[in-house]
Amino acid sequence: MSTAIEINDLSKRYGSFTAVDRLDLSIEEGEVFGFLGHNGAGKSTTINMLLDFVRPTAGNIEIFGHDIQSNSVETRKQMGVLPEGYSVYSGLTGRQHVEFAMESKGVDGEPLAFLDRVGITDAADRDADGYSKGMSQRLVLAMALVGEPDLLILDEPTSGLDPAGAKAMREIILEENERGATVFFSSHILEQIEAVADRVGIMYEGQLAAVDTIDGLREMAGGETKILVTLGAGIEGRPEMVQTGDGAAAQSETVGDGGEASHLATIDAIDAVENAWVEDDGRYGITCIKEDRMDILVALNELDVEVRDFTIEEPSLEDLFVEYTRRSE
Amino acid sequence: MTRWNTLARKEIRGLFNNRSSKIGIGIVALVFVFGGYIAPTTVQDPSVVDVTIVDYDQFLRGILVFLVPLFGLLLGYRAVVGERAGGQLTLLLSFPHSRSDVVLGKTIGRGVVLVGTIVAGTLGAAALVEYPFGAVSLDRLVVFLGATSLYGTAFLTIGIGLSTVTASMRRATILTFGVFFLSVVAWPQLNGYFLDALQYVNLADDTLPDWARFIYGAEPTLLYERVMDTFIADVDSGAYLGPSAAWYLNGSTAVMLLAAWTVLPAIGGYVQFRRTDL
Repeated sequence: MSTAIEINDLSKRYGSFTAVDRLDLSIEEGEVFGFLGHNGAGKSTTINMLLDFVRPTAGNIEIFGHDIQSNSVETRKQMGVLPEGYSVYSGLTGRQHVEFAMESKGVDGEPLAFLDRVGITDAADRDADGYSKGMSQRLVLAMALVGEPDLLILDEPTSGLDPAGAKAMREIILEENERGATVFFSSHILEQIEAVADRVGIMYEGQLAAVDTIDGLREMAGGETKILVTLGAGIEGRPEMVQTGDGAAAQSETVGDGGEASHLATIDAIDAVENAWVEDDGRYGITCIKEDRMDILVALNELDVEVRDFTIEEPSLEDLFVEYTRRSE
Repeated sequence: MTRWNTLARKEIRGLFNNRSSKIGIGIVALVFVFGGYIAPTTVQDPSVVDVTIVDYDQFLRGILVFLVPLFGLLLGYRAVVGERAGGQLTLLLSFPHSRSDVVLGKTIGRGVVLVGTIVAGTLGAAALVEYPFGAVSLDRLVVFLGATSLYGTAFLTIGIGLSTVTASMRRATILTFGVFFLSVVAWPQLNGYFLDALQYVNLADDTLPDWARFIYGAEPTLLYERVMDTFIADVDSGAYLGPSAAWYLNGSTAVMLLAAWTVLPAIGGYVQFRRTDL
């Protein structure tokens, strides 16, 4: 496979502020790459440099083997772009916007087909100035799809979209990828990226904190499953067994101490448990590998520990993100 | 550079889709036509003397040296910065257009509107001058149209040049107002101060030396007046057009300087715009 985007040692400084710091990244043809980061992490600056809107302080970018600064127009012929911070033209309808896109890319055909695909056919002949944020976003996506681009660059494509719109956006990204397009898109919403991206890059304070597949990232950040269980009073913790007649206060204290300690010991004794602790709210936390989670619950049951409730937490991309950004500080 | 025509067409469509710019264009055209209606009444005895473009120029020039620069600047000064501040330029440049396409397309698109307005207005006026007592000679009409179009285009490209050098709409507005004031209102009055300054540094005697006249007279409004004086009003006296004046102060040179004004400001703006971050 050849390279769609090759970013070498790319930096952008504004005075003493470094927006993008020595970024190296290469995107293979045909992949869906999710570019993740908080607002202000340098995602948009990077994308603006990909589009030649912003000129790098150092480093260079090649798209399909062409330097984007010396071949700015040529490279954009192969691209479909949903930029950030755009406005549509007032006085032009949705259809005229798509017509403009088609004319700009030298494509013949029916503009309505593109509007149809993003679901704004009904608004085709209305002034685009009156479109909602979500409709504008769909319109510009339709414009980006004109001419079957080899590379789609989408900056925060789901911003302003309702859940249905976001889902439609994801489907279009996958369809375009199916067709053979490389997709590079940014988001600060993790689920968006998780659902479609083959690989993810995490930007943090201008630097690329990590690049990997989603599974790879999970594994690297410790691929453990966490179980939180609420246990009933355990065998040793039963009130009658520790009753001393000293009164309620002493009793409950004894119950608390004795119960926790013994439950922890019981849990730790189970083979599959990697780690166990008591949470602040009294629940027990257990980590294990994903496959063993049910075995542990069954084992607890067999040991006569009453499991009143449990939750299983897979590490989310959010956790990975927090983990990675914390690590790179 | 292949796709500037797409942008030029879009620019023209945009101007005619906008109500206030449509009204502005209409008013300018009407002023030209109105001049053609009034000019014959300024001639002493129109039944004996033919009314010509010379009379039209004589009557209208005082108005045109305000109106045409204002029209050109207003057409130009928001061209790039308006879309840059508004975000439409971001959308536009997502497509395979270069920044030179943008400046060229806008200049040509708006230039077509400007020249079209002047031509339409003047042809309307010429008809009124011609009928019933006049005699409009074709060559003078062409000279009038050419010179006035160049004059307007010069201010259009100055406006577009200004609109490319800043990202702030407010700054562009202030710059444009400044240029209008300096060029149209202040410059013609600065003659004396210019002479005083040169005398102070011992570069001038009683009058401006020719090179200083050349510089002072290279301002678009003075150039336009000189071109019109030479080719329409047949003036052949004065410091610039008199028989003893240097060749580079004459009307033909003024035409070339005026033509230079129609290109250089936009190029200058583009050179700056090309390197900048959006």
